[in-house]
Amino acid sequence: MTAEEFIKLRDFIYRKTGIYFEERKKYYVESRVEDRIKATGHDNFRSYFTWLRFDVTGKELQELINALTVNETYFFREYYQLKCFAEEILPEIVEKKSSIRVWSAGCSTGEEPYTLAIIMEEMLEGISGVTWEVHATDINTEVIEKAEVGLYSQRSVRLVPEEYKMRYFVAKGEFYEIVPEVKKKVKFYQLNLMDATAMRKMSGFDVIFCRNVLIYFDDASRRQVALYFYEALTEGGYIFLGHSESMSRITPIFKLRRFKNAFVYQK
Amino acid sequence: MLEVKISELAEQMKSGKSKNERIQAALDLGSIKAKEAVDVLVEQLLVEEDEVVREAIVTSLIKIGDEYVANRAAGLLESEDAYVRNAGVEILSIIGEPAIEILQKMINHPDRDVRILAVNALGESHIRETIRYLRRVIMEDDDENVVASAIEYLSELGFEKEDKEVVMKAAKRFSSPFFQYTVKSAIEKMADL
Ligand SMILES: C[S@@+](CC[C@H](N)C(=O)[O-])C[C@H]1O[C@@H](n2cnc3c(N)ncnc32)[C@H](O)[C@@H]1O
Repeated sequence: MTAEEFIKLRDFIYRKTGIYFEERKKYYVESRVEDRIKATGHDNFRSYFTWLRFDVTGKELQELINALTVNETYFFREYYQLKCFAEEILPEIVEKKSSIRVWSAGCSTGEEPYTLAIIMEEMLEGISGVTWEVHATDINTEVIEKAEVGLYSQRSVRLVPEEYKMRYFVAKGEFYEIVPEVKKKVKFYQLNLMDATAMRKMSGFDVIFCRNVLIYFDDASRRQVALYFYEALTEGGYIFLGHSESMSRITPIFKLRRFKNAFVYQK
Repeated sequence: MLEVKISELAEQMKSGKSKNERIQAALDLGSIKAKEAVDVLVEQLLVEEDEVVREAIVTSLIKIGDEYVANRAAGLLESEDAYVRNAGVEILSIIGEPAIEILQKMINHPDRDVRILAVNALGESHIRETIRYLRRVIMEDDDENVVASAIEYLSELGFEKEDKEVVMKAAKRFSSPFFQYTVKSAIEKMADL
């Protein structure tokens, strides 16, 4: 792939997804794209790219996005944030309302939303009249399919407290399967955070987790997504970003709230 | 057709029923690459009081991000309102390439406060030519505050021996303690060059 070809492809992906690949990622992009070129029976970049641009079904774009996204994740990632959610934020919300909606945006293979569902089950069980649900979305359709199956490796569940592992997973050979009671609380679907129409359908969320997703975006796209989140949150709703990410560096529209266990952004 | 859409969105951005509706309109204008869209966004930015709607407007201007936006954003540097000025700096620095030409003009603006903002926009940008322009400001601008800001940025961005030499030479240009202090800390930062 020549430098110009890389830039063309990069700009195209950027426009479609908000994900921005810098020059130093050329090798990474190149090797994934080469796989797609082969898989689709093309013999050079140019013919593949032309075909991709004019593919009205959008199927190949989806395949390419699936090949290019970084999906690294695991259960109970950033424990202190989850502790804050469980022990400080949830009790505050329950005092005010009886139906709680949480969204894991950029959920990858499901570890994050299932973690949230386990926590909510633990914290809200037995509080009468309270209902809750977790929405989990990702741009990558492959990870969504895996998440719906709910089968995880040892590595993925390594940080799950032993007690929860027994209660919420069933061992299946080398794997752990999430139990149906938790599975049915999580609604998975494909959604591109840069898609204005789709994003506007998202509303009434009390808490949004969007961790380790916006790091792949450029400034302009991050701001745009932050505004969509603003619209999707209820008044006073909360948003969690990854531990190395800062909403204040993206936009001033959220307030920073200091809790005992973590800093969280609030509408 | 396009004009109708722009004026509808402009109306909705100004006086939509809910705040969300106003934010949406501002964001939607950002997907229209037309001068008229830029104009209504900039005009609203000048009078808008809601912080989130302002933010949506800035985001849309960055998204359109062409030379026309750069020119209009440069105009914001002359505003009396600090938020608007900063928005101008932010837009110019983030959109990069299309802003080069206008920034080159702005570093020669008669008002030194505007020149400082232009230096900030350059310094915060990822524009390759930044270093060259900063050097020029350091050598030629006759206001010590403008030169001092350029020196601060060059000390962070410069990677060549020449950058340090430019700063060292500039030490003689102004004698105030503030300026001398700026030069001294810049040279310390560039010690390894
Ligand atoms: C590193 S994973 C983060 C998973 C989880 N949130 C965590 O912190 O462990 C990032 C996910 O963001 C998704 N993603 C990237 N760009 C996206 C977009 N434009 N819309 C929705 N999801 C996106 C990727 O497909 C990937 O699954």
